[in-house]
Amino acid sequence: MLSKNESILLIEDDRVDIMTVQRALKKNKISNPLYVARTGHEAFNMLRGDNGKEQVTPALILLDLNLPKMSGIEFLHKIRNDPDLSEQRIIVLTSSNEPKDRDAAFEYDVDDYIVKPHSFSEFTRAIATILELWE
Amino acid sequence: MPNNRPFTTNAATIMENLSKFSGWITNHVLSRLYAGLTKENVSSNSILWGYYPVALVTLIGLIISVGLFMQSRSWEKQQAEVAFHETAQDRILLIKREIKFSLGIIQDIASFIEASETVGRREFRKFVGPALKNQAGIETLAWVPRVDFKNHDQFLDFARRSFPPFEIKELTPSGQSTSSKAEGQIHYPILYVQPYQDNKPMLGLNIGKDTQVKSLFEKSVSKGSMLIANRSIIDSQTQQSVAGIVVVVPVFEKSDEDQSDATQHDLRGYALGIFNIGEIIERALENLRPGSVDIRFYQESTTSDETLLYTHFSRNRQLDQHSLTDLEESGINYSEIIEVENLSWSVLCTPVYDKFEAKTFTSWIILFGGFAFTALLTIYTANLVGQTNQIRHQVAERTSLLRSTVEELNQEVMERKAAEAELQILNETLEHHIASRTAEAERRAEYLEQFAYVTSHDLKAPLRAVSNLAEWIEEDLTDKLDSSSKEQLALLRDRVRRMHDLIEGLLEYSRVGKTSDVEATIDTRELIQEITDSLSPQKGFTIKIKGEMPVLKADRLQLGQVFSNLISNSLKHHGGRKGKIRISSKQVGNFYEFTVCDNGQGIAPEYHDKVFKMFQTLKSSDFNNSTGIGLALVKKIVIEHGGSIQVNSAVNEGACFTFLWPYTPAENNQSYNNIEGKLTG
Repeated sequence: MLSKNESILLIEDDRVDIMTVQRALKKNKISNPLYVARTGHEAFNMLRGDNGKEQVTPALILLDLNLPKMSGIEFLHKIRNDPDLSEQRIIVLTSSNEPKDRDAAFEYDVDDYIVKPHSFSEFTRAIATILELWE
Repeated sequence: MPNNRPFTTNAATIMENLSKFSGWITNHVLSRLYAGLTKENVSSNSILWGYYPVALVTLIGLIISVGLFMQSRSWEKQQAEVAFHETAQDRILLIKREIKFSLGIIQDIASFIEASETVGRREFRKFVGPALKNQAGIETLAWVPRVDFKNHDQFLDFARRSFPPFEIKELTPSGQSTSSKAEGQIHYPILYVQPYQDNKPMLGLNIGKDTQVKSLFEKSVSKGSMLIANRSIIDSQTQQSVAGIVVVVPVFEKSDEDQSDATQHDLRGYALGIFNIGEIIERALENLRPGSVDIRFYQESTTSDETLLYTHFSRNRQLDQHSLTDLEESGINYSEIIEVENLSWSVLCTPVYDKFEAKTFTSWIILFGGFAFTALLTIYTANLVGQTNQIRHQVAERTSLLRSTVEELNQEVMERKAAEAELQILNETLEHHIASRTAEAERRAEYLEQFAYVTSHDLKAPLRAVSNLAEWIEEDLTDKLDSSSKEQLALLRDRVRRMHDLIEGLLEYSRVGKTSDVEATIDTRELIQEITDSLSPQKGFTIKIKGEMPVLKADRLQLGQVFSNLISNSLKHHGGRKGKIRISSKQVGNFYEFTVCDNGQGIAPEYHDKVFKMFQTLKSSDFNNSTGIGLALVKKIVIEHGGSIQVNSAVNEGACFTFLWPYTPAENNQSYNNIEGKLTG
């Protein structure tokens, strides 16, 4: 379970998906701060406090793999090679059910790999489960 | 393909070497050989020319044979000649001796008379008696005294004392003897004559009247010794005229003075003899063995041709062969001149016909032997030449055969080389094609994969968004929406859901075969139990495994997918409240045969092919929650693994799906376990 002030960084380009996460958190009555980055670069700026962005130090990153420009796997590669951020905990949240993607993600030591369920209620349950079991 | 390469290289090397070698043969050896042969074959009479050694051999053989024959003949002839000459010489020697003996008698008479004062008739007869007995050919031996007019009467007295009717007679030209008119004349009457009986008429005959005798007398006196003359005489036995000689020896008064001073005055008379030459000759040869030699006696004469005096025919000669033509025909002869006092005779000896000829057959043996040898040589040479020609012909034939074979070989090598080159090009082209096709196929597969991947993300995401948005609208407006709007929203979400399932199925289908490398040992009985559990069939449905199930090595996920899809297909389309599903297996050849049977509504035969096709379902989409991908996926998986699938079914009689899976038993194999399990939902 996340403590009260621990924040979450969602890296997602699709607006509906962002809304889905926000709605799922709200539905689960989780009020921890949620930061959203639309690209990998933006995420790095936020994590480092660069380019006028407020620096965030999230307890957890929810990462979509299908991102414009820098893909999720590229982001993983980059963050694991960054000495300041390499210990960052990450959960992959993607619509890809490909074993290839799953294997690649676990190569970068992610905490979990969640295929976005088709129905919102399922998604809500999945988010609840993850955060409840968070240590 | 890589295995071909060394062979091709080897073959190419061999071909190249072979073609080089055969080319060399053709260019160097055969062309020379062939040129030589064709050159000879150009002229049509070359075959005849080939026989010139035969002609040469024959010619030389004949020449040698004839030469040897002639040599032998001439040698034989020479031998015969030598033998003949010896024989002839022997005979002539004997004849000469005999003549000498004969003439000696006359000389003896002359000496006897000269030595005696007077010679009486009896004394004379006594003296010549032995000679007459021993010596042949004596016709007449006589003493002819010189009677001149002074002692004419005295002589007659003396003569008549021993022979009273003695008278000096003369022959008249008619041949009658008359009494001589002695007046004033010198007479040469024959006083004594022996043999008396034959010569009786000659007694007292004045032979000084005979011209031949007279000249003979005169010449002998001037010469002072014996003289001889030829004269034909009458043979006393045959009464025929034969050749004879007259011999006179003058007898002078004994005196101490030189003989050269002797004059007519001192002459006492002549000893006279007449001889038959033939008899002398015959007597001379009498004691010799017959020598096959004819002897002819010719009178030598300075004025005229030789006159044949006598011919002696060999006693070997047949009587009917007495012919002079032999002289001309005979090749050999021998002649010698016999000189006696003032006379010379030519003696010609000729062999009797075919005597002293080559008596042996040596020459003829040589000739015919030579001919025979030549003939043999000719035959042998002809045979040899024939063989040579035959061999040459054969060689030519074989060479041309060899040449054509080599040419064929060459041709073949060329063709093969060309074919090989073509093949190489073809191979390369093919390789190129295959490579490009493979690359193309790979590119397409990659493209497809990419497509599927993109589809899974980019199609699913908006669908999910639509679904979520619809749900949120329903949630947010839950109080404001009427029931029909709510139902429409539900339908919207349902259709979106189906589309999501279709995409998901499509993705799954496209993934088949991509991950088939992972093989694990699978107990199919356990696998099916797991699947049955996860499918959690409705109450009233039983899933039963009949008989043994194999333990095999396979891709667990995919084989599981097959069973799962088949079982769920049976459950989904059973159509009844209660149902039975039976699963069984057996080994068929190199395959496991698995069968999944149900007792449901069945499938009409016309749809048996259709059920395995993508997105094909037999129900309308309103009542259908299946995507139409399950069986297509099953078929694809089975075929990808080298198996096959078929369905046996009829309407209301249930359906049996039977598929073959390659036989790949696990190592510690008890392929089938015998536990018959019953699984109940």
